[in-house]
Amino acid sequence: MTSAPLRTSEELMKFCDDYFALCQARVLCAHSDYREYELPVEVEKELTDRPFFWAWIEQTGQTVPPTILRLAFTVEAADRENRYLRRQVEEKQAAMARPTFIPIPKSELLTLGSFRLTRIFASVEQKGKYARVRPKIKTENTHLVPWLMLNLVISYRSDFLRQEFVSYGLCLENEQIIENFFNLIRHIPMEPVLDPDIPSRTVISTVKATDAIRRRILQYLHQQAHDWALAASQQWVDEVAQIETYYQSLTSDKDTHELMLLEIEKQHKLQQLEKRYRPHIAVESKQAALIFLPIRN
Amino acid sequence: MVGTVRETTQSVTNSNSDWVPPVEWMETAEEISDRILTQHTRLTNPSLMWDFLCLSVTACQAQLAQDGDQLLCLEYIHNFQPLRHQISCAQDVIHHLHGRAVLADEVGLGKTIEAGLVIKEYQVRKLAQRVLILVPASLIIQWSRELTEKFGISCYAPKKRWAWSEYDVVVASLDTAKREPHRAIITEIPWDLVVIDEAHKLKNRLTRNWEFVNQIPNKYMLLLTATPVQNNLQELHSLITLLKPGELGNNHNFVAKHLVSKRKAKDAQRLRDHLSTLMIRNRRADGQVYLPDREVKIVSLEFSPEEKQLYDDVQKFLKEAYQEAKTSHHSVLPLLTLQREVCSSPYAAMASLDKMARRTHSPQRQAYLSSLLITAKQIRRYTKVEKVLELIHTMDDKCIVFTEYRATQDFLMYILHQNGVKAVPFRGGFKRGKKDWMTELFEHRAQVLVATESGGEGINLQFCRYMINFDLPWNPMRLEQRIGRIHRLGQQSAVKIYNLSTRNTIEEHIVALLVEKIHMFETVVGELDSIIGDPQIQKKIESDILDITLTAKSQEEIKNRMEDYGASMWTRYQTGRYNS
Repeated sequence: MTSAPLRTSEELMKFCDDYFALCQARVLCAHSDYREYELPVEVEKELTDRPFFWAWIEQTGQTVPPTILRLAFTVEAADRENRYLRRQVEEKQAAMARPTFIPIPKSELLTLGSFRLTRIFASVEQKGKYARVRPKIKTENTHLVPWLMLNLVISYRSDFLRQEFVSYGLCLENEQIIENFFNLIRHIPMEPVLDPDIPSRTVISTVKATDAIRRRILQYLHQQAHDWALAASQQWVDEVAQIETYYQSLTSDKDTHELMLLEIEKQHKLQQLEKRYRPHIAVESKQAALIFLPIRN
Repeated sequence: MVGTVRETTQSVTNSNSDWVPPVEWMETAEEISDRILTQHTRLTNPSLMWDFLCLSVTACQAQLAQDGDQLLCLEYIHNFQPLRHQISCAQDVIHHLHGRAVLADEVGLGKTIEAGLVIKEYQVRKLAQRVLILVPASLIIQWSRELTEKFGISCYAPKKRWAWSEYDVVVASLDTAKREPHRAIITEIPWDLVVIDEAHKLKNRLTRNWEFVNQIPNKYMLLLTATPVQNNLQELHSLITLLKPGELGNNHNFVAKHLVSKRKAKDAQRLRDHLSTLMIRNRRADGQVYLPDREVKIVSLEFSPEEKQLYDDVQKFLKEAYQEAKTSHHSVLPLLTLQREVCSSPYAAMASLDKMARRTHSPQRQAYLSSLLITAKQIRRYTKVEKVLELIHTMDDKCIVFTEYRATQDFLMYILHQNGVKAVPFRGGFKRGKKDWMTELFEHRAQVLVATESGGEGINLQFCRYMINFDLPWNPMRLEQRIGRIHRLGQQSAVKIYNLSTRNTIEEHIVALLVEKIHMFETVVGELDSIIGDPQIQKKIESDILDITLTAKSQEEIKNRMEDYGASMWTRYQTGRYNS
């Protein structure tokens, strides 16, 4: 497995630049490892957590200046820009005939796991779930074939969790399935297809296509050895036996009421065991798209 | 979908390469298909939907729970660097102990950090959402602060009843939690991870504490304790039963199968191997943990004639009173206190002398005690205090002065103030906020912190590297705890500890016992707690020493008997280590 994306400050900054560009947020300042974005109201609401503030602003019919997001991508940049922001305020105050209080803005450190990035992830996941697109560059071959692309996360769950990202493309004319589909087409510039008639023109319905992709995933899962699940099952079985024996050993010289309480307690423990160890595989669809591609000659 | 154990059991026995655990689809094919056809136009600008989709793939891949033993959470921690033994501990808990473990590191090795790593890892892997952390009331703020600052885990300490289920990560005190109405609410919430600090409070299966924790639903559970539970194997059994009921059989079986006596296992090696699947214990002695050097200096002092007079007179009284108390089976506790106070300072002893003078029925004794009080009051020069002032001036850095007694503390504060040294007091009785404030003052404004014994627990003073023990506790564990305040993880420079000891007093022998015989200050003795960590034994040490002091005829005899005592303790330690 290749190493995960967004682990360096450069990657994170590029990601934020791309995201805010798509959101039409203006870049007010671009220093090294540091950005200031002016947020449109809709984006502000998504990325911050102040519904009451907005309810109040809207009900009282006020307008507020746009929020500025100051993101530092390294600790050094955060310190540097904080010093700079403070100095600016101090200079402004010094220039005033009668200095008044001005709040000093502060940059926030954007790292993996930070509140803001978590919000941005959630926003992106919402907005980037579905698409219906075709390549921007027109080819001579005008016949476009619809493909269903499904990106999914497979979660192998027991007392531990391992996940895998898979992408399949299925041709809605001949049912051909291509693995790793997203990577093959991710660099093609796309434009939206908004023609409402298009779904009726596909030979294979998207429901059928989804089912076909699922069969392929099951096939894929059957090819793997699931040692992790065997180990978890074994652990589960062992611990169930242990609990049964243990509670059995406690039953002597107990009256019926006490026995009932013991039984309830035992059932709880067994339920907890199931929650912990039951091996299963969860498959969740993350992105889905209809993509119209020209036939390759 | 396989929901019961029986079906899974069959799958295990019939297993072949084709077997696949149950697969659950999070949405139906119709749902997916529906949404592709309808929802793609939701964006105000549809021309951006492909670009958003591409970003979404990146975000999704960035958050994937990847394969491998590495802790994913390390990439989410930016404010500090966990140590190697802490990381490997968390890995062990997750990969080999299935998320259920006793963390029994020695004091100062960072059990909180280890627990934080496990919590964060389970959060990042989306295996734990609801986390309950039960700690002593005095540590709630410290825990939530560490989790927030170091791990970015936002947690909440509930004050109202409704708040238990309102937040994902809750830090509360065990004592509050076990009371109604909280108890009923907590035992209904399906917690994913339950962490209990100071878990030695659960060593007895018949207590409400144990009973309560046994009822809390949990998927993963961490029990943190610094008290080496392996001392008392039955106590260990109680903890393990919370983690894995039946792992060591029921109490009766366990005793029959594993124990020769309360403290002694039948087959120590087997039991130890077994425990390694349930318990992780890092020791300083294991060498995985780096701490800067500690230098211990004994500062030998000579009493001034007046001080010597008081000490000898008190000693004379103590010896008489001790014989009486022993023949009449009275408590020797007041005598023990006075003996230790007079080692500390005349001021500390005066209150006790006064009290005894008022209580005694013998006029003769009353007269003697009153004369002692007068002797004490007449003392003008205080050898120890002068030494402290001298030391503080030469070190010209922050310093903690420890004493066992309030009276000595007040007196020290007064003298320091008079000599223009900025000092702040610290006591166990202070409220949390005041403790924090005093620590803050000490760090930024003052040079000296004058602390009493009880005040020493639960605060971290790594920014200070000097310590003066104005008087010595008679209990090696307590001394270790004092030193542990500054000689702990996070300390950057070598620490220097001065033990004040007056010649020809019991202190001289205590120092010898603590420093030489028990090898107190060598790293090996991180393990000290495994032989004398037991409060019962600790109490015994104090009375043993008192007995030696007050029954010996000469200094020479005290010296010899103390040496023998230290040697016997060392032997006991060695055999204890061998057995546990």
